Amino acid sequence: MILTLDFSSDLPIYLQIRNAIVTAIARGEYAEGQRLPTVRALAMEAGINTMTVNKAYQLLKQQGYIITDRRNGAMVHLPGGDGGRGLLEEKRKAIWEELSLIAAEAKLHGISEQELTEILQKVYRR
Amino acid sequence: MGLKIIMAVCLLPTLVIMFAGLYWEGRQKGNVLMGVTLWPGAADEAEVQDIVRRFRKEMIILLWTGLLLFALTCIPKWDSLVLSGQMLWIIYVIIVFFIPLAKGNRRLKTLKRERMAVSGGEDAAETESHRERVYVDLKAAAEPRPKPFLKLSLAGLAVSLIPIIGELCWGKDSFYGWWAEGMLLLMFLMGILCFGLQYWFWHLSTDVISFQSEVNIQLARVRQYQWSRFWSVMLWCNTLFLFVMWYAMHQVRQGIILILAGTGLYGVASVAAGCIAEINIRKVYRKYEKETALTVEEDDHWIYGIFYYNKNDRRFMVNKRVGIGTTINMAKTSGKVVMGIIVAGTLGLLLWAAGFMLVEEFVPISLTLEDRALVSGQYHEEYRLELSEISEAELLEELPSMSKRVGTGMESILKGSFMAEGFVSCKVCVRRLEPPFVKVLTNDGMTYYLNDEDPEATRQVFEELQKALEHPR
Repeated sequence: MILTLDFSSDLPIYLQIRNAIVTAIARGEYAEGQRLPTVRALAMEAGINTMTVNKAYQLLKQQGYIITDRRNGAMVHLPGGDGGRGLLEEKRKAIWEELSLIAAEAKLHGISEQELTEILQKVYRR
Repeated sequence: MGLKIIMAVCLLPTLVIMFAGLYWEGRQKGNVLMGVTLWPGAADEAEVQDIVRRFRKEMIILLWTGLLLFALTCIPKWDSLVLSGQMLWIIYVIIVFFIPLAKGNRRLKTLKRERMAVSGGEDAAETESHRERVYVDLKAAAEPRPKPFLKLSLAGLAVSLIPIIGELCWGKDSFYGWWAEGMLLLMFLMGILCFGLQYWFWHLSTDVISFQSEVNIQLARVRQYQWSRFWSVMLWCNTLFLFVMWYAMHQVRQGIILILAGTGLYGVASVAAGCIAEINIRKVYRKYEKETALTVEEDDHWIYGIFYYNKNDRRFMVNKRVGIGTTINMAKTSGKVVMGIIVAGTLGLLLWAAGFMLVEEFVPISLTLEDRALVSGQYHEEYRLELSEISEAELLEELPSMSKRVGTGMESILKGSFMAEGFVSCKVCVRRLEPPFVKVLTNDGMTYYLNDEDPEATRQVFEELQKALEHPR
């Protein structure tokens, strides 16, 4: 899985890392329990500070996408299941808010409901 | 003549290696040519092939020019001029041989910009946005980092301690003095440096050239294995050279020859090991050429394809785009400092050596009889012998054969500690090609061979010395 970091983007690097890993998990590129690189290894490969990688991993852990332990490092955890109901509700709410903004912007730029639905379907299926 | 042959044997391979290493850059490496990321279909374009042809032609011209210039440096009869010329020749080869590559890189970049402009704003904008992007292969980053040849390298380091400990515990006075012992220590430190560089290569980041992690991982493993083996070989070559030096420094006659031969073999082995590593890495790159679909747009970070400058990249060292091995990120302050030290150190050393030799050869030596002492010197006093210390003096038309321990030994000047025929230790300060020579024996058994720049002055000093010794005050 190739992670692309764009240093000219307004999005902070730790969020780019977080988003890329979440996307990879959603696409099935990472299975449950599969190991991610260590903080130091990823920082070294990307040429960035370990604190940036640490921040990304902490965020992923808080959001339930990875679990970490000292011996095995960071491993992928697929959200959902019995322990995730509270998290799922939170996620639904967050997605609702983000999509509301996207829908508003699409409307302002003249993108129809059908077009927006098609885009969403394509992205979801990717 | 012997010196010129030795220098030719040592230096001419440098020319061939520089040529071969850089000439090879006219061939595509993955999707990079002369340090430029190629656009689709570029390799088949006539203009690109023309740029490659021009580059190769310029390299061949430089090769012949280099050979001719080297031949010119061998013309002077004075060793110092020969060696100084060859020091400057080394600087010329190191700098000038990169010029065709820099020109090729610039031409390709210009052509690429024209192509991007023609193909439309979308491609140009896409290229622009690619510039600040860094690609990381997460699966490759998660792979464990083996340490190939670790035990072999540690064994090499341990064995290299033997000459040091042996010399400290059991060594008698080295024939060549303290500087040879210092060289032993320096070579041991070189061994540690080899191990340090091997450690660095174990932790080198992965080159992302494909969307397939397996390809990136395979290439990373091959690179790591090959360069680990190279540094292990270097470490063992260093260790063997240490033993050669240890043996040579206790040899009266063959010492210098053994050291020169050892140095030559060390150099050849290093170059051969480096070439083998790079050839094996490039073989694997060619195998995966078709799968290198990922275009890493880093052209602007590579100045002439040679120097890497990227302030967004925290890495101190990155894989070279051109040539073999790694290079420093010049955007980092530490990178600038290290590069500055290397360049200043190398240039400074070469220029100092040239200057030193010119001074040694051309500053006149003098022999005078002062009030109660015989004084020999060049740019400063070399030897001062009180008349009361001198037991005997003789005028010779020919010097005995002698070999240098410590000091200067050129065709025209001998200066320092030598070992003369019959294992006689002596101190010398003479213009070898300007007989006669004054041989002085002191009360403590030391022999001196001295003369003046002017043969008549030498005879006059000898006559005065004889009178002073016959009629001491």
